[in-house]
Amino acid sequence: MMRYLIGAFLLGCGVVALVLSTASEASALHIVSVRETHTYTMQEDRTLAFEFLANRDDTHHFLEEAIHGAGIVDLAGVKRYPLELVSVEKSVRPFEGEVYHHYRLFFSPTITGGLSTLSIPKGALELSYGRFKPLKLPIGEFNVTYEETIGDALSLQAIRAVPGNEGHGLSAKGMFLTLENTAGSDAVIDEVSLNSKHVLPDLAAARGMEDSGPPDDFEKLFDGYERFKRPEKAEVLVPAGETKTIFVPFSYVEATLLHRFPLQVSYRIDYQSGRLMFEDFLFINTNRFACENEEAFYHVRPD
Amino acid sequence: MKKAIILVLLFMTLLAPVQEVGAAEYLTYQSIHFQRGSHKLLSNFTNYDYNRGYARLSGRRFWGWRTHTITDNVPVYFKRDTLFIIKNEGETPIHQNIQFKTSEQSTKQLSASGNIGFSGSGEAKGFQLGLDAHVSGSVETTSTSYIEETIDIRIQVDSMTQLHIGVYGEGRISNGVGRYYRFFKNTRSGGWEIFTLTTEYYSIEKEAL
Repeated sequence: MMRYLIGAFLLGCGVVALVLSTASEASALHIVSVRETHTYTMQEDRTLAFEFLANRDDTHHFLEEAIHGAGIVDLAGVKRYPLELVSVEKSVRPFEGEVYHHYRLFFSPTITGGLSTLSIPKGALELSYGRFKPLKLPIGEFNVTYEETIGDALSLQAIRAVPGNEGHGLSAKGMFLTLENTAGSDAVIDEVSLNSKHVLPDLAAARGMEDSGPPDDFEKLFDGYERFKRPEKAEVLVPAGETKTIFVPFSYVEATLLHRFPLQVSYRIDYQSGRLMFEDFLFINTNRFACENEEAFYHVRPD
Repeated sequence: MKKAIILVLLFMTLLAPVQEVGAAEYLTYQSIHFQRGSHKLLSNFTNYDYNRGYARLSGRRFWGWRTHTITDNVPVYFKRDTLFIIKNEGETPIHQNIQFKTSEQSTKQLSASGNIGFSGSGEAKGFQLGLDAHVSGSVETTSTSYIEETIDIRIQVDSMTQLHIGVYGEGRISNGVGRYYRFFKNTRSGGWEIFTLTTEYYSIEKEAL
């Protein structure tokens, strides 16, 4: 009889353990972030935003009052760019058939001078919580620049990015730029940069445009274009006193998403170098978590 | 000759666009066009389109809706009005932080014609008498609840210029016709349309003052 009782007790314990382990597995915290390019020019009043999805909202990880410190770190732990948390926005989003909590964390930079550029090809947002363990959330490429405009001979009249499925998903595939040269001599553009190591404007494949055309013609702009090679050096001329529209395709040397970027155009006029900076171009507003490519996401499951 | 004129007039009447009763924001966009040619917005449906749609409805029913979907979640491109104009009449460049909110409220918009009406307002707006339940199968929604997001842009505006921030985008359209029956009697009929905004793109243009 005793044997049966002990057997039943052990069986009961086993069932309870199984139920508990299954329950804890089902509710384990799962955080999703997007592998994308974050590229900024940095000023004091600048705001940086990072987005995450979490399957639970009852943990301390995204509580404004629980976050004591923040910064961008490289995955090797060598470089660190400190940030100050400003606010947290919360909503819900569908993700892979489930409803997830969507967090947008807004930060302000704490370093606003002294550096010329900082480049972290594989970065993570590190959040520290006082008595809890810090959390590292991969975010993709993170670059900041403090460069400013030099000279005023060349100015940006219009910018429009071309959307398309590139890299991981819906991203900027190229851009139309309208530049005005007010100088009495020709301007020679020798570099266009988005301050990204993964997405490179291809000046060698740039072409002059009469009109940007309707959006459904965009795909034709890329006929025969080899998108994943490192672009060769090239120059584009903007004649003296003229305004010129060019289309510049982007070459993706690493898979990423690019939704906003600063623009840096380096040029020379009569052997004088100049630089045109456009600080911040947000070209797309879309749900980045709707991306269908699984490679676009990082999955973090904190202990 | 007389017969020919009558036939032409009849044909023109059939092709004349039918007045819509519900005006959604997407109908005020500067342009909206389908990625593939043969589809139409509800606002461009002719009597012929309606009659052809009604002919495809199954027979009368004791109570409730009969619907037919003509355009099923088809991608469209659009161009909206200018979102912002920022002027700088000073002598030095200015840096401006622009903040605006986007919300789920504007990502799903409804329109209707005939005597199909709406119930509720804002995020809870739907078609009357539960028409949504009959047509929602053809509509792919991108979220499950109300979302409001803040967008921040930092921008430089040169001296004596103004910047226009324009909006382009992509969405999906579903539309069709429906009839509502009570005791086998047709009490309401008309067209329905659902526009789901999926992505917005921005462009910036500078103009001298």
